[in-house]
Amino acid sequence: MDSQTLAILMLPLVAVGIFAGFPVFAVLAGVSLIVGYVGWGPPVLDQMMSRAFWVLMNDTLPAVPLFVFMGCLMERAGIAERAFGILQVALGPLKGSIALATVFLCTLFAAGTGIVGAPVTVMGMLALPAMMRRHYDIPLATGSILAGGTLGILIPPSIMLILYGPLAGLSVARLFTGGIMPGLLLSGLYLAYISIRCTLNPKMGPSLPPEERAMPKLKILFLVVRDMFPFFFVIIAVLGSIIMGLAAPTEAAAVGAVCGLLLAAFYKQLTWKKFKEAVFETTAVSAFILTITIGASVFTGVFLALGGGNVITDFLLGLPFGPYGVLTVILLIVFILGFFIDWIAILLICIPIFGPIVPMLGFDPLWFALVFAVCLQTSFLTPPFAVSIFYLKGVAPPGVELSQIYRGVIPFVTLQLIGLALVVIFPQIILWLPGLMYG
Amino acid sequence: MHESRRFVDSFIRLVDKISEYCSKAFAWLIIPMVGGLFYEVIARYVFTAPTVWAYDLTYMLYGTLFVMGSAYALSKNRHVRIDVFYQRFSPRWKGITDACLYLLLFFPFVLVLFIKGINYASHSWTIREASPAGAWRPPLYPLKTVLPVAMFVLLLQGAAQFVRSLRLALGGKQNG
Amino acid sequence: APEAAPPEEEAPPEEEEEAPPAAPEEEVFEWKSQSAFGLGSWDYLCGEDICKRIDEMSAGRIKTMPLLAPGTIVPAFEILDAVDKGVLEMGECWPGYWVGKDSAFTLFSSACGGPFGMDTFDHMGWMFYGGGYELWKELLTKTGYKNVVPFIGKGEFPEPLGWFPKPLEKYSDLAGYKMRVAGLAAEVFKEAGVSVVTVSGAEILPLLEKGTIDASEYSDPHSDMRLGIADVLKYYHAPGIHQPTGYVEMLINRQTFEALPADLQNLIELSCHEMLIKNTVHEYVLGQEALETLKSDYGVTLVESPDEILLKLLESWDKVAARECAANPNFKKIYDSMEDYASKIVPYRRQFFKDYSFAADYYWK
Ligand code: NA
Ligand code: NA
Repeated sequence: MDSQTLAILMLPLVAVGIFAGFPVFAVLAGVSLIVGYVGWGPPVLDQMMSRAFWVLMNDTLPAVPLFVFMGCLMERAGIAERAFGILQVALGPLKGSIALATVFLCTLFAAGTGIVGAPVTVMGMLALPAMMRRHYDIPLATGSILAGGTLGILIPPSIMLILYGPLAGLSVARLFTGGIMPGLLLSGLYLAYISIRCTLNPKMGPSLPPEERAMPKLKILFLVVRDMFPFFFVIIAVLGSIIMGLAAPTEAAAVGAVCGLLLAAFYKQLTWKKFKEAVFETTAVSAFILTITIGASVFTGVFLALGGGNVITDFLLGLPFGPYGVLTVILLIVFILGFFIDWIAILLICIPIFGPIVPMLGFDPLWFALVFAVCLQTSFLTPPFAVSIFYLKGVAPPGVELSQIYRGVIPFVTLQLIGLALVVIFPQIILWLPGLMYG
Repeated sequence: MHESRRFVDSFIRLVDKISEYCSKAFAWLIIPMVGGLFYEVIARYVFTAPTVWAYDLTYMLYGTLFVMGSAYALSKNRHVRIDVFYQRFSPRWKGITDACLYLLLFFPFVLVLFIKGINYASHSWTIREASPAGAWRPPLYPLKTVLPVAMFVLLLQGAAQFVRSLRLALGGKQNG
Repeated sequence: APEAAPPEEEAPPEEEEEAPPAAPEEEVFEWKSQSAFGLGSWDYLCGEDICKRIDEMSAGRIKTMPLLAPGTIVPAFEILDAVDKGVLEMGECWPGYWVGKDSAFTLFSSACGGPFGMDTFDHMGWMFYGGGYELWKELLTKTGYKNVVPFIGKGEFPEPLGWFPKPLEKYSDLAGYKMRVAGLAAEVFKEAGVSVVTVSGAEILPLLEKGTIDASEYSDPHSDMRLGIADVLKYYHAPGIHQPTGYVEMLINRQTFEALPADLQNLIELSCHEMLIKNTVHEYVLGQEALETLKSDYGVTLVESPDEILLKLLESWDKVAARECAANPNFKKIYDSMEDYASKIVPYRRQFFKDYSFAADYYWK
């Protein structure tokens, strides 16, 4: 068997391993090691070492434990619970208010960081229990966290656009500007979907019964100031300071953790026991997220080393279609690859191929880059290799079934595809803002 | 046979303890991480003099923290499993698949990182490798040593989990 | 053998009898080559041109293309180890990445101050005729990378002082900037009161856009333009002094290299050194074009760096270098060798290149 066949063989093997229920990190790394050793030989051992150590020495991933710590503190101290509670009172008859607030906070998170792990886990810890306690539809609740948390790759800063820019000879600043509208479009689609679903079927995101939110206006105002304002203020201040440039993401996460501590102390919720729990829980959550990251990195490396990318290149270059035909096939390939491999692997396979092809097809490279990014969003949500789902599964409270998560993801992937169709049909969604800013 | 069974039980208990202590001891690194970065922000805006050490310190603490916590996460079954089908398996089948996959996927991979990790760490010690990132250039060899140490603990924990799966597979009850 | 040029003395033909005119089954060597530089960046294209040249000149006997993107096989900072261990057959990177292994690597990547007034061509002279290449190989061996055969593939353009939100007039204007600076040059800027932030090239732009950093140096005008810095900062300061020379390196695994027949070994060296010259001067051409675009399309103003700033930075570099010499014998040995070479060549050249701007002023001022 030649090495390219072996690379393709990795995909079903990983799928089988994952669905056999073995820990995901070990499936990814183990399959890669065996197939890599057969198809390539001993160099795969050193490659694994290099890629694992890169995760240990990474300078953007420290934001993960820091944000998780912030989330753990707020969760243990019951701060999020109070805030979402009063939010529901204040927003009165609005259906699905917590899911809407979740997507809103996720959008802000996306504008603050390029890391998907942080928003998914933090919102999974804070908003998911709040929604479950209020009998939200679990698929809807998990779907909104997953889809919202995944926006980080599209809304700047976006590592995908940073990688893409120099290849296409595009200023990364302009690409970033181009990413804003499609990101907001998707966020808007999610919000619209949640409100419509919850209005049609109030059981999915129930508002409080009128008698429970019947309070004097003054009392509501007082409770909002006491319970909701501090929580949202901390999150918005932390993410805002990243967006405004006061702090790098890791620093802002640390500031967030300090704020979480102060808030917890303020509400007199923070016992030594809870603090210790928060510290230990942070390590457990970080350990599973980042160990999966090692597995995914090893998998990507071996898949590419075996020439898995060449299979796709050869296929694409041999297509007899016109520009829009090729575009459709490209997007289809990205979508399908997204089921099986990590988004970074998709980038590394696709950028060298598409970079030179796209101008030849007559497409605006800036537009294409963002269409590509919107399509790549789906890869986080489509099983078996669905990174966001892995993260959420790791922090979801007992009682959340994977089948519910899978079901919850379907409408949001559909929304992403609708968003994709919209930016293809109306290129101005992408091109308008860069045109306005850079002429 | 009773004696060997007791021996295995105490091995599993010991390993669980080691993993737990490792994880809990290194978990506290989150405090200097938060403190260091928070100080960095203060230093930049209040004293307009950022530190040279915050950047390197952050990634070193972060790497140590999560990788040393990995074994305990395994013992507590915190590593993500996609259990759509797995949860419908009988205990016996769970034991069988897990035991097989530990042998096939887990041990080779962790063993490779353990052995290679020792090579890389010892090389790093020999040349007194420093962090390449900033102006501070602190030693990098402690972080490179953390990986094989963590992999050793993970190997032990993997062995314990393997024995547990084996017992399930052989129809015994899950204890120890 | 039908090859026209006889191999050099170190690789005598070892065949007992004349091979038939057309060797029917030539061995084909397929390599994994990876760059440390982002796809599409100028440094990446330099490496790619070398790979293309090797493939072309060997008529398909060596296949080094495609040059893979950083992270494909290993992360950029692991390329040295990966080549040493045979994970990669060839890696393209920058010696400055290895300052953590030994600070002396900086002398092949971003030695400040000329060094000692040498420009890239003088530095290349030191590499070829002043013992530089041997010292480089020795340094790799001393740091445990015995399995790496190094070549240089591009001489660096002297890096401009950097991008600032407003023109600098004096040395004290530097103080207080939050500036991205890479390598040992960070220590030089620190002496000027700059808050040095060390981030990878990829992170410069997001941090600039948000104002986490408010100034930056990066590379030559062509690369800077591609990164998009000019969309944020408009005052481009040149010349600079913190990185006047340096190389893009092509590292090849020793077993891989020694497995090649002598003619192909020579061909690798030849390709690297041919492209060394072409890549070096091509950077001037691209930089010049890019600077025009920066001025016309991005509204960038080129500011001449005040002499005072450059002088003070040189003084700082001398301090930093003295510290390194005291702390690291490898650094001292190489630094002394460069000084020794410069002490002969630089005064010699000054008599002929007395002042670059003399004739330049006559024609172009
Ligand atoms: Na983002
Ligand atoms: Na997927």
